[in-house]
Amino acid sequence: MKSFTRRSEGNGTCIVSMTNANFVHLHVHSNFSFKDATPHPQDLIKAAAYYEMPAVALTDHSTLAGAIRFYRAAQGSGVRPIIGTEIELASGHHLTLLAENLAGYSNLCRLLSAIRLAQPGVTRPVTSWETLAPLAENLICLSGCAHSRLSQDLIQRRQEAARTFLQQLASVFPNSCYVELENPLLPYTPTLLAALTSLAQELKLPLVATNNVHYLRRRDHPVRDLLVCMGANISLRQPHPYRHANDQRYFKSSRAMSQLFAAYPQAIANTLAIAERCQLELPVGEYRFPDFALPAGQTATSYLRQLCQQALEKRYGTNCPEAQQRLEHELGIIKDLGFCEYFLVVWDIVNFARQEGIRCTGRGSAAGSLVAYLLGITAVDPLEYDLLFERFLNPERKGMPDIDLDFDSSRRDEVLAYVYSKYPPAHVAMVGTVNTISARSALREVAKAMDIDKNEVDRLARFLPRLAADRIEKAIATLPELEGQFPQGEPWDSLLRFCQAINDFPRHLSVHLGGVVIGRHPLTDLVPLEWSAKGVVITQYNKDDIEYLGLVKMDLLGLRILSAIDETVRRLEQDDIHVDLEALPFDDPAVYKLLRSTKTVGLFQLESPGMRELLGKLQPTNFSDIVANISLMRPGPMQANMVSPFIRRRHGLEPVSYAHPCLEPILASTYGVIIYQEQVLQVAHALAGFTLGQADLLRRYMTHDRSPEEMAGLEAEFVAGASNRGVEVDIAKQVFKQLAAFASYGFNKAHAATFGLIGYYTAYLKAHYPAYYLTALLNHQPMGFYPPRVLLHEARLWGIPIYPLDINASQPEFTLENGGIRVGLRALQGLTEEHIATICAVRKERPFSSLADFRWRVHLPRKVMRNLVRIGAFAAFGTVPDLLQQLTIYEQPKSRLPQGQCLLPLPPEAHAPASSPAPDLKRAISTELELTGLYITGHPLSLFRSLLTSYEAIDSRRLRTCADGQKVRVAGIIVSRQMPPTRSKQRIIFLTIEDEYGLIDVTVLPQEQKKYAQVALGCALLLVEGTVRKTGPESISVTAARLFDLRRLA
Amino acid sequence: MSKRYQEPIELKLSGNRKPEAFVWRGRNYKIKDVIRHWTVNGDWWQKESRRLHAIVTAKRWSEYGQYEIVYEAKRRQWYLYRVYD
Repeated sequence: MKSFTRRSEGNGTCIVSMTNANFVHLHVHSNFSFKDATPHPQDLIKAAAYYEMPAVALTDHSTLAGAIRFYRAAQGSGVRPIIGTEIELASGHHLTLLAENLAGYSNLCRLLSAIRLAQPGVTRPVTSWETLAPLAENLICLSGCAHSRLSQDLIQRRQEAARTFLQQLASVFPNSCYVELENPLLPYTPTLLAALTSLAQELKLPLVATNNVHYLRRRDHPVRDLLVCMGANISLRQPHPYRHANDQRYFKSSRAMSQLFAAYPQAIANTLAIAERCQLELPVGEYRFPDFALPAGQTATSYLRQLCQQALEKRYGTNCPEAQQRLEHELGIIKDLGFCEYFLVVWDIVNFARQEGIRCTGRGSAAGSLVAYLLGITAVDPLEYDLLFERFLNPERKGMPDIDLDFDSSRRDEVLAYVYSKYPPAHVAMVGTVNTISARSALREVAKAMDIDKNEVDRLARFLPRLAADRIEKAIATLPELEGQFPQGEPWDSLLRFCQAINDFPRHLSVHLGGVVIGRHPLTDLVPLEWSAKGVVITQYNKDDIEYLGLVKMDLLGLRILSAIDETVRRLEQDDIHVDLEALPFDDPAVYKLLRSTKTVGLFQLESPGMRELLGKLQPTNFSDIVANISLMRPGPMQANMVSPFIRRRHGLEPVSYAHPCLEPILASTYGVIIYQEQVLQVAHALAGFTLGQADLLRRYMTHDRSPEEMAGLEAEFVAGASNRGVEVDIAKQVFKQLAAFASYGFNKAHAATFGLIGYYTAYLKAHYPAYYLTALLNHQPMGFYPPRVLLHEARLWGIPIYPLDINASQPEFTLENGGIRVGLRALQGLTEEHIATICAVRKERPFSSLADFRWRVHLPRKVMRNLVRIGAFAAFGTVPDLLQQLTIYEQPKSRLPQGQCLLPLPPEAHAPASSPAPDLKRAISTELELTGLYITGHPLSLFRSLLTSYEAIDSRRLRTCADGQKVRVAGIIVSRQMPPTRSKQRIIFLTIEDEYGLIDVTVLPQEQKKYAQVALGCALLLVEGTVRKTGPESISVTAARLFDLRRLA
Repeated sequence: MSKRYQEPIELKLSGNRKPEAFVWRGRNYKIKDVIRHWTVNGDWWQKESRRLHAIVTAKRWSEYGQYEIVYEAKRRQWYLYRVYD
């Protein structure tokens, strides 16, 4: 039996004494050696524990990306984690480096950062002695695996080269250099081992045995082999230097390793000696806030107070005791938790944005903080909307505050540039995130490596919904649209098995959406950095790792809707219409009329099919209704049956009652239904006397899986508190049950209010200035629920004329023109920014007068030119067929011309447009969809209308007049497909289709999916036969009985 | 120089599971030592067998020779693979 004791030296060193241990794996790869190894880092700890090894190292290729989760998995496991890496020198030598302590770990971070930052985009970067030597202290170096240059030199009898290398290594790592012996049982191994030991003896260097682990079990070798082929983009039939000839590089037991190195017992013993030296303890549990430059004579606490007090008096006046009391309460907690500096850092960033006129808003539970509101971080008054500070910062639970900031997407880079300029560059980086292998990509890549037909796999992958790679098999077995589609037998069975095996494997690092880490000290003291594919410096650690190390991460997100709002307001300003959104009252009748009509395409958070249906049922009349709408439109409330009672009570169809009078002020606004997490806190506080902090802990407890015993304990505590306040036990139990049922599904009201505010702004702008707003929306795609073609059609339905792309009139972006929307040049696929800039610059001199004039003055690639003609950009100069004919003539090579005739470039007056028939509508719509993704001239359904009439299909206008239960046929082009979780756990497909007059929502129930799922999920144009379902004054959908591919019927 | 074979043999193991002798064409070859051994996996995707190779010094009557024997995991069978001159 092993035993050990552990004590911290307080300087990043932790001493663990070991007894009865035999061997430690010191050269080990996890799947963070991307596509080169299979074990998850935490599984290595489990393997070491299983084999009773006291420690295990992680040495991925030039990265520490898996190191923190490896380290965390080791805590409490009895296995000590040794953090290291395998690097490669430019000479081809591999080195295994292990951190002895915190100083060594910091050197690893700095070394890897230096290596990666010098070689962006290189999967296996190399380094030099010059980079390595200064950072060698407190690192133990193993001379490298059998793949390295050292081994090759010895196998090929280049003794002198091998000797020189080892001598240099020993000088860089004095007393910390070991000659690494690896025995993968290959033909050359005995020769190599003999040569290495001989050289080590000559140079008096100690030996160490490793197994260069790449997988846990021998049988995992094929998966690893496959991953290598995927990474190298080759098939299994092709050789590659990274592929192993056998399956010996697995996590062998101590016994197996001892047998393997029976002739070199010291090499085995030295693994323990090295592990004994490696005693790293990471400095976790303390926050490292960045240094904030304070005004002279101020502390962080006093400065924060000053800013808040000034803002409070400005917003609430000097006589508002409620606000003052709340402020004191919050500042007290913030100070006690040590977060004053954090708030100042966030305030500074927001302050910069506001000064530069960059729209920004804080989201999430931070909106519950008066301090955040006063600092301008959030925009919703927490006092007015009854938002709770303890839901954001809980004094009972020490945790980093998390304030996410949304900025105008088009100007977020300015904010980032400010952060980088404000703090030393070495102290700032974007946070990395790990992209993992998904079902679709797994299927395709594994199939490619296995040489399976690409077309067949593509066809299948198209049907796969977004799911994890290990759910493919279940999806194939259960989804009706995949029934009979997936072939049986080999190689398909192996394909699925491999997909399952690589589920959730890390694929590569990329930039987290908005995470920025700012350190008090250079980040590379604790975190290795590298370049992302987008050319941004990122941490090799993800946000969880960053938080674990106590570093401050901020989410500085770009929100395109803020860009659209900003553009709308600016365009209005240009036309002398002044709109101050921050000063808007929340009682504009036009806004609520729009929301109740459910014509909310383009509105932030209020446009999805489910949201439109809910708006139609709920019929909002005030801002609280918007907040409730956003909170209810989620799987949780629907599954917990919160929505129906809320709506029925709101419309007086069901009585509202409260278990206890003290609940009425808390639940009156939501008709007795618990919707918000804040309400759970308030109920626990009011009824059972919990502090708000304790109440939030209770809420959190309830949202995680608890055993019946644990829940019984919570209930007892709750009931006892309520009894102390004179509440009857039965009532207390009833309320506790209600809380327990809804706690998991409650939404953060502060978050909903923040989003509701933006939603309100967008509703206001659309209601009053639809042309401006929809133009701006089109200019900031992609965003929102619907594609641009739906937005453009929405504009048409609002009576806004749509002007097609025109070579003289179109700007790069969508613009307003004569009360309508002019399609911008950017809408045309293949037209680059360079082309657009040229067109705009040239026509500034004078507008284009003909196709020939354009060709004379602007030179574009042939295909782009043809597309411009086809889309009708030159419609002022002729019809598309005529112009294409002209173009064909221009494109003729000179050799085909009669002698003496020169065609290119032509004088502008050379060709006059010939007269031709009116443009073909079908061709126009088809071309527009092909080249822009929009329908400009008309809607595709108009081409089918006469056919649809013969099928007695009605349009979306008539659908609104139908009665509940009426049988109908409708048709449309697919706009969206959703399959959200449902109360019954069965899959329901929600479709939205669009015809010339609007959107139609269609529901396909499980029974109909058996026959029609393929049509529902695979076809673009649908004819639906079904029954009308009316669930509210403006809430109408069709429950499908049959679905048809409209193109097949035509 | 060597000569290639692919003939099944019977391998005998000692009490501590070390190779002791093999029988080839009815004749017994006593193994003196294992010079070296290695494993290869072959084309696992073609269901090729994993193979363990060993070069042994073995004696028949009074003559010593070097022999390469191979174990095919799929067939669970030992073979004489090569005889070295």
